[in-house]
Amino acid sequence: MQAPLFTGILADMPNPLLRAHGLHKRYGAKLALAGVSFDVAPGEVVGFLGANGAGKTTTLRILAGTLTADAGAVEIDGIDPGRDPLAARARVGYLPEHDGLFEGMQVEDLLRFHGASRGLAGQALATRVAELVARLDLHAVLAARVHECSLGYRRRVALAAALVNDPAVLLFDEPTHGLDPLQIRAFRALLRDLSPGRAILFSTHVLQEVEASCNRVVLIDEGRIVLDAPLAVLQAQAKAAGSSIEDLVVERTLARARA
Amino acid sequence: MKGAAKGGDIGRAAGWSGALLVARREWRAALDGNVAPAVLVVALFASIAPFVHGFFLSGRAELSTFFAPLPWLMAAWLPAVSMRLWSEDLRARTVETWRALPYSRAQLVLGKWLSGAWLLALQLLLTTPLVGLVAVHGDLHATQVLGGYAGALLLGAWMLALGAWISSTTADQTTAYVQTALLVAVFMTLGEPRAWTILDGFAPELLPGTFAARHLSPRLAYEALVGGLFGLDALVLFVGQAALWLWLNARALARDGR
Repeated sequence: MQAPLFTGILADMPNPLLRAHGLHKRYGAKLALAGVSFDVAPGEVVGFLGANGAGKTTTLRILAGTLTADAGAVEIDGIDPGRDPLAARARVGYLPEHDGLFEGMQVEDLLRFHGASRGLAGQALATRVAELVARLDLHAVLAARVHECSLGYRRRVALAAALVNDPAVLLFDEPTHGLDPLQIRAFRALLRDLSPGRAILFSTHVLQEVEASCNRVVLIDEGRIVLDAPLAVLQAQAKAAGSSIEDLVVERTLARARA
Repeated sequence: MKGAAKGGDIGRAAGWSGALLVARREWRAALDGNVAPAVLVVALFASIAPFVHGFFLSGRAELSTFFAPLPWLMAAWLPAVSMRLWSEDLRARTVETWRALPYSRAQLVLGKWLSGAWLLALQLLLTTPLVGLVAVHGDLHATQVLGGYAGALLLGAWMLALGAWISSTTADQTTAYVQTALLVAVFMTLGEPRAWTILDGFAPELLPGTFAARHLSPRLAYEALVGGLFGLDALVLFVGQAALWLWLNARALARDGR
């Protein structure tokens, strides 16, 4: 079996905001995660790639605290969620694959509820909601109920809910799903603005998304990390080999399948 | 909250304020929907119907005609309130949202249960004009009024706790309704003299029916309160069992994949 490409080169990074170590998860007979480990440092935007069923969503759910790993450890901003789950969750903004929005709520009420749930109140809450509404262009749906919003708006509302308390760690599961090209560009710009000082991990199937937004790539296949490398290194490798990052990713996945 | 101090209550609503936030959201969600307001109106009319019938047709101004059939009416309508508490979140997968928010399971469970208890309290509050009618036209006993409403509130809160637990085990609201209504009916029937006599007959030396009627069924405790008898044992039964249902609710939420 081939060794994961570059896995561990960032494992000793100083003060990572997000740390996953040896995560294992099994659903009945199916092994979903088999020792997933990686760290994400402040300022890193990590593209989490993998085929359907590779383990991306399971990993994100464990990191977000909505699923328990069978084995392994997670650390969020230095906090062990096993010991203080609420403090850990308070530092994570999580955008699930399916929006996870309360359908009957008005968008403004929903954002205020998420803010209040995360300890914001009064003028601070009002200001933060106004900032997010402006930044994500939600004015048109502010008074609408969630079930009345289009897919693109729903995604943005869910994103606003995840960002409401300005968390240090951001976990996005397929964040651009349902967004049109203009909205995708706006999302990339948002990621650039958010990245300083934060650890951002987002899953996607779209390699172009990773190339446009990330500075590091983590590839998971059948519950194992098979590639973990800075984007610049991958780009240099691809250039030297006269191929593309897509070729490298496919090659790595196929190599694991053969092994 | 980037760079906030580790631990403590930073970035979350602590203690009761968290449970109240959850309760307020659920209360508004219930009233925004179609089921709870409709059920509230129907339950209100159904609960006062026996009293109105006795008052206008038989000339009886007695609160007993209101409190006696109330448990069975609540057994029909409160499962319709509790069925959506968790089943709806399981169906819509918003249970993952709840788990991602910085609430403890105790805050979530208490908050959801409180929202149902507020609906129950509202329904009971809307029946209080009956007390005025009895005061004017009948013989009003303060202990019966206090005991009756306390009993109705405790019994209803007990049913809601049971229903909340059942609803946390299924994504199907109809299943949650049926299972809760059936369980409530079983517990109420255990307090029926004919039922406990039959059960006692199976093991006369152990008297299982009598034990169940006294310690498991909330019926006798409710009837004692309606009769103006305030006993600690009734309170222990209601609070103890409700706490057990809510604990089971929290355990169900702790299961993976929810």
